[in-house]
Amino acid sequence: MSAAPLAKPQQDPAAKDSLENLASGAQLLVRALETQGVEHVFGYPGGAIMPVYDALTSSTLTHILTRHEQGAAIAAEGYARASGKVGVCLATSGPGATNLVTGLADAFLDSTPIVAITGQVATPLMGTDAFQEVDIFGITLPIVKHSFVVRETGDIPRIVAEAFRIAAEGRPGPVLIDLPKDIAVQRVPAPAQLEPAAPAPRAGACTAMKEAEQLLRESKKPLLYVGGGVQMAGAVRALRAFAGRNGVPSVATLKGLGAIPTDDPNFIGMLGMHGLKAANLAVQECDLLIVAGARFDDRATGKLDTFAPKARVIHLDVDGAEISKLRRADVGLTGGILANLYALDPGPMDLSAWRAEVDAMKAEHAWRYDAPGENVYAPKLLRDLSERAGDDFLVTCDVGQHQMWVAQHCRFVRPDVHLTSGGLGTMGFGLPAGIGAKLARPEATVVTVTGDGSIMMNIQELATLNRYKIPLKIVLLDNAMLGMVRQWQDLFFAGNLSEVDLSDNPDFVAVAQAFGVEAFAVEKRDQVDPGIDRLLAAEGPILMHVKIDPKENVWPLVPPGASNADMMEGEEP
Amino acid sequence: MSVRLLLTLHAVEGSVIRAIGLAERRGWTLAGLELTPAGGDLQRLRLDLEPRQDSRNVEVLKRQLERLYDVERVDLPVHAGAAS
Repeated sequence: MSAAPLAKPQQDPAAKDSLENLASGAQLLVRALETQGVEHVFGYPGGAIMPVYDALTSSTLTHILTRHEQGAAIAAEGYARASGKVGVCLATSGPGATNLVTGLADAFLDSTPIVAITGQVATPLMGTDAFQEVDIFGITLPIVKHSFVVRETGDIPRIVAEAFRIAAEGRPGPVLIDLPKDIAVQRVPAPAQLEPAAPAPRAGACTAMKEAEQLLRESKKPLLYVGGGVQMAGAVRALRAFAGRNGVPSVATLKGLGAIPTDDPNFIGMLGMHGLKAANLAVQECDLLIVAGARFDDRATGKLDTFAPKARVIHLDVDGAEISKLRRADVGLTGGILANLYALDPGPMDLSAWRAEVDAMKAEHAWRYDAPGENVYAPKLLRDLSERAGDDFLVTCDVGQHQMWVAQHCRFVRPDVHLTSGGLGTMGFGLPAGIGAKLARPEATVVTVTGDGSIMMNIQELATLNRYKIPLKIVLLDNAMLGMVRQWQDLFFAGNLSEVDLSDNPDFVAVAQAFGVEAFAVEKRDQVDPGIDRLLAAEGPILMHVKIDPKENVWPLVPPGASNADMMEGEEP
Repeated sequence: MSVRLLLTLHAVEGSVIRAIGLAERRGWTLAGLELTPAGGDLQRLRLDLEPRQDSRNVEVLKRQLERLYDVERVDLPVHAGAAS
């Protein structure tokens, strides 16, 4: 029996006119997001955020329902890093909000612009331990660039515009907007037009330029140390022009890979704990370090007081708080990296002897791919995959051994195609970041490289892939181990393996297929090439499950607390 | 050695706790504080701090506090390197 249609409530025509000029806080929020140019929003509904989800149904925004709020936050990160825009995620109060925390921290440490909007219990209930109430504003203070609690409905357009401006300007980062439910449902006169956030101003060049140029002229062995800040500052072309004009060799951090193409003759490799030995040796030998958008992270420097011991330092960073934070800069160039790199011109430099020395180091310590045996050799698989995918290759990584192999062996022609959790090291980053990246860059060949430990941290997002038929390609390197922890326990804890065995993993091919995702297995070396063929040819989401040797290590390695000059090199492949 | 920082900040939700928390998380111990009105929507916050390690640089902390959006300015009094 069908239900009788509900009678429409009678409405006074005059009241109708006034109602049409009113908008709820949730409607204002959605309009403000549209005004910022937002197209995709990642989130998960729940009690306190329901007014916003109600307003979403009549908006132009495309909402992507992830299966966990952490997935939403990280997908927003992937979207932001791949698109250069601000990513947006939504969650309800309480557990929905706390589930965003890892993604916010990840975005904070990797300077990724996202705006996170959380529902909150109604204002009169705040501070009463109400159902699903948590002080997300207080919880996230150390891991956001800024945050707001909305106290007046009419403030919503201004707060959203400010949040987008703050997230994107200068050194980017996450911004939180906590929206109490009563503020979201309250109706207020709607502004006729909302204003988008003003574009972030480009910072100009710094006045210490002459001192920097003098250091360059005095240098016989200058070296560029490139970090993720170069790409965030839109200074990749300026960096390449500077490096090309002067022929200065370069090394890159994990986040700086691709700013100089990895196959550029003057690019040496990644420095640091798992860097190319030649890159670390070049740092030790250089007499001038030109640090661009990097922050002397401990994974890059090793024992700090032995890092680049012969070098003076020119440090370019948009964030003045990074200058001399860990290593004293002889010249700090704060402000726009773009403008500073274009302005930095020491005149002709003869670096032929230094380049020959660097070339010899590169030749001596080049990667080798001739591993004996029939097992799949992950470094070669990753190198081949990135080369065959070509210039459209975009990879999102999880965290562990596979993450380092990607950084060491994949080919990157630009920096925004290597999305990795560099600062926080978030296992579970790869899959949701891949979802966000593929939605941002549908033309790119987006590959998530993950491990059997990492994928289980956010495996529920396979359902998101299937729901939206997002053609993400997943390479799951499975050693039935928490491989990096196992490696460290072997090397630094006398082989006392503790809680690293994952041999009871599920059948990942069956799991993916149960989620509706095409999947297949690769177990032997001769299956790798056909496997890559199938992966790259797939039109929908696909997972390639690759069994690798559980005893495989990532080499080289700077032991914790040691100098980068003291790399362990391990066995030959 | 104690240091004193004088912050001028907007009197908005979270501004004081954000500044104090940043100082503590960046390796400084809070030895004293005073919050007073500074006209309009501004407040003046005096922080007396001690570094947990000698390597902590107050100039870096000053720049980190200046990054906060609610902070208008941070002064490091020349003759008040040591808090009274």
